[in-house]
Amino acid sequence: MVSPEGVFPEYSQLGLHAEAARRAMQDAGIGPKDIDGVACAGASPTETAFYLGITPTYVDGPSVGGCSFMLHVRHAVAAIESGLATTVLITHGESGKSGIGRGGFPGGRQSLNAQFEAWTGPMGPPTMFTIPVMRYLKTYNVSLEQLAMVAVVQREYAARNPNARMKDPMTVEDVLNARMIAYPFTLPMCCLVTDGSGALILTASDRAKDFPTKPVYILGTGESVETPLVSQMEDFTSSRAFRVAGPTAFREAGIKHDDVDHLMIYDAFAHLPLYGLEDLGFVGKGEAGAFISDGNTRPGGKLPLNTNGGGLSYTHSGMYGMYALQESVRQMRGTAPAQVAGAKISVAHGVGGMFAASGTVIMSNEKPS
Amino acid sequence: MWGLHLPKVHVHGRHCDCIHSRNPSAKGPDSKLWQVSLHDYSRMAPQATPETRPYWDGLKEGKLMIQRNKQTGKAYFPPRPFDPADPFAEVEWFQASGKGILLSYVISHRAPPGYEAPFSIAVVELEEGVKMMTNIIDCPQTPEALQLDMPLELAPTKVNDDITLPTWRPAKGA
Repeated sequence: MVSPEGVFPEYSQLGLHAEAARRAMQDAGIGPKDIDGVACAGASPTETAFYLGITPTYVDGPSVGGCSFMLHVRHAVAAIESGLATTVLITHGESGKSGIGRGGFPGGRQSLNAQFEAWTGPMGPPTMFTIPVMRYLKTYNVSLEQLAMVAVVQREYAARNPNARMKDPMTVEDVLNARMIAYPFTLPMCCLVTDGSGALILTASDRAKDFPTKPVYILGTGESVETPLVSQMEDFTSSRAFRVAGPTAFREAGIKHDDVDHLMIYDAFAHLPLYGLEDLGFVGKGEAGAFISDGNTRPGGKLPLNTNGGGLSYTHSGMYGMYALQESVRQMRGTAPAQVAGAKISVAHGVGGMFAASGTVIMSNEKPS
Repeated sequence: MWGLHLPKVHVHGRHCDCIHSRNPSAKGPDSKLWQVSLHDYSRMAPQATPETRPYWDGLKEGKLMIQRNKQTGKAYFPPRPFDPADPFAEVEWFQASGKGILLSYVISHRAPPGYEAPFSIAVVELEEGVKMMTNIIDCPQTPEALQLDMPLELAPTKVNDDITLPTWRPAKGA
């Protein structure tokens, strides 16, 4: 559930979960009694199940940041295959802008974060997630203009998306001359702050054919974590969690990079698509900046990327992974605002925390044999 | 907050009576726009745990105490009772050199209460091979002054009787 205004002042965070769930059930033609699995982040699965009148036999709720929903999908697939549940509801709801009923994040003065990072004065992800990028730029001689191009290209997709928060065309100069948030990141290189929610329903493929809408099949999934402290990443030019999650999903799906028609890479900040393209193996190390600048990911390019406009221009309520998954679903259903013609395989790759976690989901609109 | 060089361990805060003012317009005559201690850290002062106590006790005396694997000699950070590369190996505390290089940073244009923007949030790579997040002090907070790979040295900032923070500055004579 997303609006161009970017706010839902009438919903609490739990209410956003519930409304997204209600719409997803409506879409699937089922009700709470048909659902026996619940997973969510940003609210407890217990309160979500109670609130929605669900009696679950499967409860899942890893909350590892914005990619939590990629992990929920992966676990739901395993749960369904192993019989833990037949139909799993995964919800996201976040009053990211309005802050209504929004829970706090854990932490204390003795936490690793407090002792080894927080005292340096970061103001949230814009000053933390961005820490490694200067080393990346220097190592691979990537320019600020190439970093800015990530935001420019995604705005081209957002212009086609009626629900996108930011739709006005933008140039590299616009991006670089915008208000500085945390050098070298200007405002358009940082994600939006909005309200929003989304939900998915997963079930076995033989059951999905009875639903009124076109099913999308999960081909492969992967997940991993690296560190809760961005300063302790093994390599500032690459995410280990990405390098584990992405290839795991590709192996499980049994596909090659050339098979991928559509790609979502969680873009809380402009450098993430660069890291994602490289760590998932779509391009070589240090090549992603040129790959995007050369137009490969823009509308009509050979690898359409973040086709909803992304966290930079579409919406970002705080844990964006749900929207990346939804855009992949829409692309596979053929209902996306910026539809990639003939797309058969989509990869949705998420990050959680500041390079702390990662989840990858590969989908297709063709039933795997 | 702009002012003269001062002894490196100095508490700036609401009640601080040091010779320079927190007001940027009240620069001293010798001001070179070099920041001495950037922030009032008192609100964000961490607390040690049993596992990290020697680290924080060392900093109180101006020493950077970290740990290493006794067999391999390889340092690790942040402190914990075992080496994550080999949790069964013996480990020991030792005093790091206090030398390192600027690995990466941002310059934040927003400041939490008690902090002065714009300011750098940086990661220093120590000579011993480990990384730590820090603020670079005694240095203009600009991309021109903050060059990757520049040599840095430990310049701790005292916050309270328990906590002295491992701030760093450009190495003298570099």
